Amino acid sequence: MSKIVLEVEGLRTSFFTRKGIVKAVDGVSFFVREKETLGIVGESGCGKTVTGMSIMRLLPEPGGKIVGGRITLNGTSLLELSKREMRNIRGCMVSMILQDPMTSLNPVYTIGDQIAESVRMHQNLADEKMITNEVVSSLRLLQIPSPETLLKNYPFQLSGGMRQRVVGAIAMCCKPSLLIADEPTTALDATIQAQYIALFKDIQAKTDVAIIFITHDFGVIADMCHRVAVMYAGKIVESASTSEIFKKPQHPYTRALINSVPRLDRKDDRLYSIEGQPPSLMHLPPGCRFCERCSDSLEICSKEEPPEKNIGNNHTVSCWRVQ
Amino acid sequence: MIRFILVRFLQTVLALLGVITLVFLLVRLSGDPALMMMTSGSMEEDLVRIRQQLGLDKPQIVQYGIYLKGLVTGNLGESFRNNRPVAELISEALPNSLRLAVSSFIASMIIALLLGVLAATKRDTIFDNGVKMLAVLGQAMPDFWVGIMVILIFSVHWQIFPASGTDSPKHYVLPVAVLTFYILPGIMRIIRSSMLDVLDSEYIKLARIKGVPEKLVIWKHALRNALIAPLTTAGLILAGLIAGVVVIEYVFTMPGLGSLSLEGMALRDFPVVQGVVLVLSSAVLVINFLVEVLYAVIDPQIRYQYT
Ligand SMILES: Nc1ncnc2c1ncn2[C@@H]1O[C@H](COP(=O)(O)OP(=O)(O)OP(=O)(O)O)[C@@H](O)[C@H]1O
Ligand SMILES: [Mg+2]
Repeated sequence: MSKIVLEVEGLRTSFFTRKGIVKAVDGVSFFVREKETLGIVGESGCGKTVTGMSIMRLLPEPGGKIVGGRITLNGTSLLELSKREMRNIRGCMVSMILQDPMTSLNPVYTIGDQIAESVRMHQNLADEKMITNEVVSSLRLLQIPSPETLLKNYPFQLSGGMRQRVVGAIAMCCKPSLLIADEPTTALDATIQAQYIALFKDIQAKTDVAIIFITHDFGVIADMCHRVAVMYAGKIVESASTSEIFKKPQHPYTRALINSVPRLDRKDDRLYSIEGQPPSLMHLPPGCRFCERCSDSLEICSKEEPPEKNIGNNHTVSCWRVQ
Repeated sequence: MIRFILVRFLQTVLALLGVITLVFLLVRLSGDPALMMMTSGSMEEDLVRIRQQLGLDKPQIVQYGIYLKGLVTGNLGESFRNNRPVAELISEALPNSLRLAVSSFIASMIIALLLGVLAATKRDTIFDNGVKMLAVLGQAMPDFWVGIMVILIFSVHWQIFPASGTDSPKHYVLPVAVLTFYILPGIMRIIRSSMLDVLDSEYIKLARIKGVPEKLVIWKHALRNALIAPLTTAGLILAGLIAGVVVIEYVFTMPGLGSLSLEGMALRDFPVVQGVVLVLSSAVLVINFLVEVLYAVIDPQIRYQYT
């Protein structure tokens, strides 16, 4: 087995607001290996982005704070680093792609400048020519046609799909060991989305980068990820390999999510959606967080939180129904 | 870029022509100067004679032609009051006003930039609230009142700075300070709110993700974008500046365009008022042109519109 790049243990991140404490991430653990893609999937507001931003240590200030847990990247404990040390790691050992390609690039600087800035900061390159070479090779890695001319363009001169590739080039230009992709394809249309996913598989094969792929779409998971962690209201409720989770989903929430993916082979083409709302992260119920929306709940579910069980094959699940 | 500048330049010239015509018409709408120059003993013949002297008896269109011809040759006419060439009066007054306006503009820009940006980055802290208070004070207190207070404190009570005149740089300290304080809040607020918008954007997040140090995130990635919105309102700031200059010159009894135009208006001294208004509006047009060019320098999207 290849080595573990990132290990997150019991991560807890809260927002301290005037109205109260929002427990956005509440004891989350997972790991990612080299060359591996871990999918984090869940509904809007369940804490996926906050998990990613916690790893980057870029929570909105004031208010956002990591209140517990450990994050270990290539053997370095990130939460113990100084701000400066963390900055040197950001964009270099770990980088991130944001959701919206239309607004992720700075409108007043050229593509070349924006990639070169990263290269200059993180790599000790002697002259401008070497820096330009690095920039061009990162654009090539993202399969961007005629990179030498694109360098001089401004973001507004590119299409959405092309911009998202440039964002990918910025993320990959310093050869990170971990890439966090936060719904990178949601804003793109279906064909471009498929291209982008194929592109990242190719990049992973070339660079061995470990990827955390954040999405709310189980359909994308099947294409892209080796393993999956299903997140609900700040917790991971189930995790397993992709094939295992599609074959034997255990948690009622996971099953509901899988059912909500539109499929061509199903007779009725009604879109299944989960009824109800997730609980407020400010006032969490004492028992299982999914209890209120669960059609299968027991008496204990509303009273006590279910413990995490390993049912073999590295398949873990937190549900009272699972023995 | 060159095409952009050319287009804007032509537009500026056209606007200038419009202003020249408008000034001619408006001044003539404001009443008959010959009547103003009458004294109680004057006769009907005097009125006719004065009108003749001033060229007011000729048809409007001829007057307009004479006016245009004068402008081209730098002849703005003569003051009704003391028969001195208006061009001469203006060239005496202009440097004082320019010194006052330019130094207050630069001072307020620098202060607004620093305070506005820092207030945005330290949102809702004591610093931010302090800056907000300062802005409210600056906008709530009329400039003439601040001017008088400042004279009372620094010229009468402590006698650190002179209260009037233009003889030395020291004479400019108080008026520049008051004028700066007067135009500062507007610019500062726009910069602060524009900076807040930009700091919230995805590309600022991306800059941080890249590992860019916070200082550069703010002064390189954010500021250049945050300047685009305030530039569009530069015209308003300028209008405030010109109004401010007129009042401040009056309060500090500084000879300048302000006092020249106030006297001219009080006495219906056509040519003088006309001359001052022409100078002021051309100044606004020229500055607007410069702002547009600056706009294109900052924002590539505007630069590329015209290529
Ligand atoms: N700045 C903030 N202040 C207070 N609460 C916040 C803040 N940012 C996020 N949250 C809370 O944290 C929770 C998790 O947000 P997060 O952005 O991680 O959701 P997500 O899973 O990424 O959702 P989406 O699919 O919509 O991107 C949300 O319920 C939100 O209310
Ligand atoms: Mg999100």
